[in-house]
Amino acid sequence: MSGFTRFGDQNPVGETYEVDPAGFEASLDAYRDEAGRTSADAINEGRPPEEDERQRIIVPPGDSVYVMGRQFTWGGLPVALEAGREYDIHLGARDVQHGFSIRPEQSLSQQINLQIFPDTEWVVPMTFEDPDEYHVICNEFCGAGHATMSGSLFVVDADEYDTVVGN
Amino acid sequence: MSPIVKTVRGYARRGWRDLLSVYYANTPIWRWLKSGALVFLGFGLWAAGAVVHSVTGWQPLLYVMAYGFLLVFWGPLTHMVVVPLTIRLRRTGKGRLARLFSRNSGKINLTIFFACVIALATLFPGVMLLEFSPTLPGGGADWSGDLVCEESDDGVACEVVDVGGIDHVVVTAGDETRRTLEEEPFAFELERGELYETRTGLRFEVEFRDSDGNTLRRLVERI
Amino acid sequence: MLATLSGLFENDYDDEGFRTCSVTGLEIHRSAEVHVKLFGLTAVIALIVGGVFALTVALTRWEVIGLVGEFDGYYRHLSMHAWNILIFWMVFMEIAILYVGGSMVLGRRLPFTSLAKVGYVLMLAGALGINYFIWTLSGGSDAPLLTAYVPLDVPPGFYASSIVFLLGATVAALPFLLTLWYEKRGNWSATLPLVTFGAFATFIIAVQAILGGLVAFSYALVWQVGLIDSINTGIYRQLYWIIGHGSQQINLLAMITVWYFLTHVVGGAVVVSEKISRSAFILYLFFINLGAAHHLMVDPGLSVEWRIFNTSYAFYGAALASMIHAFAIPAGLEAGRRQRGLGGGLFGWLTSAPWRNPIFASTIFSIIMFGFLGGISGVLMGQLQLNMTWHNTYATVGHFHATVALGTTLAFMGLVFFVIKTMFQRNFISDRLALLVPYGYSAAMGIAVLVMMYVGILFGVPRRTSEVVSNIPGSDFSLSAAEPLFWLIGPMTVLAVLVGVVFVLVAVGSLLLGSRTDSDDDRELLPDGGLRPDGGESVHAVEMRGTFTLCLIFMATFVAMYVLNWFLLTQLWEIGA
Repeated sequence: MSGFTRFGDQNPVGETYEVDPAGFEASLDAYRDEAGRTSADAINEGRPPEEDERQRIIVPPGDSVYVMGRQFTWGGLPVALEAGREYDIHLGARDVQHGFSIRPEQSLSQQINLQIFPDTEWVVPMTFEDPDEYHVICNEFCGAGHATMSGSLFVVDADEYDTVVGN
Repeated sequence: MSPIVKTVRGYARRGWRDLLSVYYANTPIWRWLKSGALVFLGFGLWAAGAVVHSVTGWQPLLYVMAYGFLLVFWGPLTHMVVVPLTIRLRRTGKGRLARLFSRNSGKINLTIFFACVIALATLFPGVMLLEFSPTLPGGGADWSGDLVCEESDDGVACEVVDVGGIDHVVVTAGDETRRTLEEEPFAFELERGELYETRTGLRFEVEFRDSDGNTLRRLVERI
Repeated sequence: MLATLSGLFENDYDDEGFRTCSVTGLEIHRSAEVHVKLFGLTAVIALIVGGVFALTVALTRWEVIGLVGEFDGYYRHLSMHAWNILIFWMVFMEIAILYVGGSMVLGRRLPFTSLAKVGYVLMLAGALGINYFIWTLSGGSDAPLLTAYVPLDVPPGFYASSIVFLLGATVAALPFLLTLWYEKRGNWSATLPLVTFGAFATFIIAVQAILGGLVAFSYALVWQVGLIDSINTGIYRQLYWIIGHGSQQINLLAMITVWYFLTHVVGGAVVVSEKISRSAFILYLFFINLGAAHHLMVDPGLSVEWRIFNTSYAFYGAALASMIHAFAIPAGLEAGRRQRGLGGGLFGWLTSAPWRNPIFASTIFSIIMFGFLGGISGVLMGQLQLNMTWHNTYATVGHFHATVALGTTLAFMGLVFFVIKTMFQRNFISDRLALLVPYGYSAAMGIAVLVMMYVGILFGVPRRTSEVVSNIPGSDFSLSAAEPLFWLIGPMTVLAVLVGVVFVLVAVGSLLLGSRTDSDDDRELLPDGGLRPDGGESVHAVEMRGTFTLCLIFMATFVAMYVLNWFLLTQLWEIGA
């Protein structure tokens, strides 16, 4: 519906760039080096992460979030985002086509699906309003092992975000 | 009475008569078609109501859901059993009860049906509600590990950093198992000749497993 | 054994090789009939193979059973199911339909039968090759599934076999084109019968689709063997979906042609407006293959304008054509039956119809299920933004099972039954079991398809995966909330496969053991009053309010589903520039 692209809030539209998969992976690595870290417990308990905790969750340094599908995991996930803030989600793949399928844990019927190519970087802006753990599943066949490909995206309440990421 | 009102009334009257004739139609194919259509309608209303309810929480939707949920059973019951029985009793029924029932079966049936719908939606909605969140506790996986590899002229050397909860690691190339590693940091080396050749490079697969042998993660690496 | 089999291909032909069909009155030449039987029987064999894998796939996606594991070859099973049912069962049958719609309806010989034979051999070789390369996958090779997306490691032999199959289909279709050529050359200004016209439109769509497929698979092949260095994922997808969706449009047009044919012969339908029906076929030619872009709506790299034009405006042209047929075919049945005095009231024309004839029941259920379940879900999925909620979920699987596995397959099953009675001239070994097929299959598959769409939209259950509801390995998360609905999908799909087994048993059993049909059996096949009744009012004076009511119900359902899906979309978070 062309009208909806103007006045609607949900459109599969964003800038695309031709990239080399290795180049995209380099961007992802650079982003990870700059990013902060926090832990799942910190998010669940609304407190800063502790020194001795396993801090696997990436905290984006800016408004860009990199997600790279590869056989059979999601590079760049898990990540913690602030609710109500617009992020540029950079979608790419390392090897073959993958399917970016995301939903919040508490409301499984709110789900969307996007296709990811290995030679393309697709920047899709997203603004998550509801704090929850969002689960990402791959829903394009990418080889035997594809069913194991899942990751998490934590959306944290804006009031708690700075605390939880340790700022 | 203006012609427009007369026409509209005419349509309404014809529509009502058609509805009654469909409700009481009794040939085998009518019974199956009516029941089938009501099963699909019931399912549709129940599921549509369920999903809209899951995102909005509107109370009236429970009544739509209850109607659909019960219709799946009540529709076939009405048209396979109640209506044929009514027709038979109307023709051959002797006795006051039979006549009373057969004359008013439509009203009786629908009254009971709608009473059940209202009761279900008001008193026991949980019976027909679908869960839209996981029925098992979440919280994220409690294992961790990242594979770090370095390529050299002879092949590749890898290990797993930030390990937690991984029991053992299995390295394969195509169908062949190349290494099984039991101890952290699960370091291993592979020569080029041991890798599997594909159009997109030489590949090998690394699987993290837990103590039950379940796969936690499977990674495909290429050089 | 061989005598029985070759006996199946023999009927009583005159010295010229013609016989007059005792049911339709068509002049049928031996050359056409033999090849229709050959392609038709091969199609049924493909259905059997695909059906076996339907069972293994269904029992795996019903994760309570979880028959074939992720690493035990689930994706091989899925590929075997897809290719045998969606491509081989369909395309072999469609070549047969071309020969029926061309040579048989026109009463001509099949020209250049050598082409038909060469085409058959190539198609068979390609089909066997594809089955071989899928089944013998090992090690690091990836299963192609239906789409063989690059850059998966799919064996080059697979792409080569696909090319052979498509070339075979092209060659096998040529005698149909030549039939029309000779017919028109003999009588340029005469009108082709509607069924032939429909078959011709099917042929044109097929050529477009096959050309796209040949380019797509050749592109993938030259990359897979190393002749070119790199391959563009997006371009392959665009090329692939020309055959990917084009093949489904061939199915659609062939099915519609079969609907016109069978409702006429068995139900007493007439054509209410030749102009309208033919215009609808022409609309398909212009718009339908553009709409193939609806597989690419959530792909990166395609402009919004291109996506919207192809999947909205162009596709509405095709959707309009479908709506025309959706009205014209039931209207034809209603008008034809009312003319014969076979229907009073609103729906009397429908309920007095020969519902005990499995051919009639198959055709009508095919129409209803295709329209309500397949058609509506297709248009919904084809909206640019709605596609985000449907893409690669189980709802997609529900859609194409509604259109192909329910709609087209049921119509083709009805056609096979018809061919058994008229070309093989055998009675069914069991009329009751034959009748079970359309009723049982529509019920089981209909419910399965509906619930597939629910789990896809309500829970986002993905397609093309072996395990996601009971457990996602390595994660605490799963879509276990969807499990109650899989207790419907699992048993219903298994039941549908079992009814498929009944179909095969009745079909094959009737061929081998059925009694020869006689004139009484022929008469039973036709509607009351025979094929062409005397008198009755002009079709333009006949009421069609029953069909009109059904169409209103259809549109009401359509609008309700449309509003529901768009509403659910607006409940999501903000996505997109």
